[in-house]
Amino acid sequence: MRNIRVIVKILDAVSEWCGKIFSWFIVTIIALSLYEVFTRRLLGKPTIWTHEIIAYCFCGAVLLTIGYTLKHRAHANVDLLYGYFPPRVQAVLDLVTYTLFLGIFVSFLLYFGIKFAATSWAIMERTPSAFNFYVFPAKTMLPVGVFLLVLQMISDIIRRIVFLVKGESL
Amino acid sequence: MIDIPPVLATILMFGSILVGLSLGHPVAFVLAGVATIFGLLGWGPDALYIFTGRVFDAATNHILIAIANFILMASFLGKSGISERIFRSMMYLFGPMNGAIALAAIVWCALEAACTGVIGASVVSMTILAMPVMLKYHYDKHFSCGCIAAGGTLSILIPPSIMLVMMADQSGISVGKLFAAGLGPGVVLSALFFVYIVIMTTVNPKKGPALPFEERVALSIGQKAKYILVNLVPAAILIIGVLGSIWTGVATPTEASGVGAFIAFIFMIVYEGFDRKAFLDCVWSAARTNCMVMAIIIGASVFTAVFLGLGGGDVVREIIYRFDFLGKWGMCGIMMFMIFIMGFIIDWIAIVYITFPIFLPIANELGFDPTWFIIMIAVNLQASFLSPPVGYALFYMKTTVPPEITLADIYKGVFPFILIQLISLGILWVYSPLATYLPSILIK
Repeated sequence: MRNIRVIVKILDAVSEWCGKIFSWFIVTIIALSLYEVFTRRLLGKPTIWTHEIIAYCFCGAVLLTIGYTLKHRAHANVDLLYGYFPPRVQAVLDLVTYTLFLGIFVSFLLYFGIKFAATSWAIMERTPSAFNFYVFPAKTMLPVGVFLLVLQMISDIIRRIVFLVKGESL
Repeated sequence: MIDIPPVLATILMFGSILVGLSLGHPVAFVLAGVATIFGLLGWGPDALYIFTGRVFDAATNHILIAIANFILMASFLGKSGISERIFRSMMYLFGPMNGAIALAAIVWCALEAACTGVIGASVVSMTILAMPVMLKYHYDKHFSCGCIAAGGTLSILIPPSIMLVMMADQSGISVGKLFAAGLGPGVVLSALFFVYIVIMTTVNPKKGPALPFEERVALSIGQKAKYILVNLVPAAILIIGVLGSIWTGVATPTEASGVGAFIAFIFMIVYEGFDRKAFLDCVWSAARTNCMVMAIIIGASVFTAVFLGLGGGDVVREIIYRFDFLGKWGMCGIMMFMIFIMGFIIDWIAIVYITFPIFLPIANELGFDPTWFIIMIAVNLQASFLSPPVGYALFYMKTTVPPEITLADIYKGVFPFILIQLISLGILWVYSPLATYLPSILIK
């Protein structure tokens, strides 16, 4: 039991820290947008790199925070029926839906996501633009982000099972 | 792999969404999960490789980046205290009229809508600011709920708006053009809300009395005028900074949204001083909201890929073309009706991503102006924020209202406002320049 509690704590901490750190990508996007407007409009010298780097930052801000968002239960859902069920029923429903919908989706996305990133690494893929930068930093975020989501999902599932078996909420 | 007949696939896929949503699972994961299951059944596992491309494209989409910026901008603005000042200004302005607080709420919402583009933020802050005042002065609670929820939905129609950003992404029409097109209908809708409140409170002042005399004479007219003018300046700066730079071509919409977020950040520091904790809260909560929105986009995008791949699009198309005896306007009506009905159950983001690839080509074949057609859908979807059971404005509101107000009160309150939204849809239907005139002069 103590081990389980430690595992859940670690998983939650990973989500929390990753989310808080990768949230800064949005701040970076805004800083780079300002920089681009400044150089292009005021100095008349547009940069070739901001466009892609901003997109990479957005990729990180979206994909690397999915687990963190799940931890905070911030993914929009419909409480209409669900909200009226007793907590035990909710826990059972969560276990079913986590496996049936999220679980099945992330297992395929993780598997193919690794392939997706690996291909980009293998050929050292570059963007077809003037900047001609490597694509792998962005593409690697896909499997990494999905992996973080899986960690949070495991933590949530353990929590529900412990609640159902022992009746205590972790 | 099973050969699923397209009609069956359509019914089963939408049926599974309904089941998943009613079990309380997050919208994004329901869509993605249904896509995975039906992709597996119809195509086999290998074809699911396309999901990675879909997810990656959404996460690196340059247009959608504006969503993240607008969300952070709304967070900063919320912490800056400007909202409260503008609301008080409006109360001074409309004080002597019946329904003063409700009128102030609607005008505040329209102004806020022109500054930001995120719906949850305005419903929540208006509920916090206006609801206690309304209850204090014995406003009818259904009426109050309706005003605030309906006013909050204006932010998705009046530019900037993250919904219009998504629609631009899905239609290939520029963000600037759709922003210009949304303004006219947004102003008309605000005016309709305003007139409705004036009529209702004139007929029955009990529903919403004027501000009490003591509150109104606390400041002299000169002081009030000064207060109002001073506090409208930040709103004006934001509107000019964001919309102005998009329409004059100084910045792309994505950059303009970044500039807007920066301006809002400056306001936060100027008005409230730099507070590290408040700043971090803004960044983190914006990241979560952005991720939530983007996850639904990703889910809807994968869902649509499978849905169209299994022939669901053709099924919907065929249903619409069954009605060709009604002429092109009749078919337009059918499409609008479908979206309105979907709005009762499915999330608006999902509706945009599912219906656009099917409906836009049809609208094109029928010879409708695409900008007009898209704004029609936007006005229509606005009603989906208010339509129970799944109306997001209602949920946001429920999380912030005092406990004596139930979800049923809110449902009752919004009903007349949904009718007003349908009226504005009718106005736009018969008078299309409302949406198409402004873009034609603003966007070259």
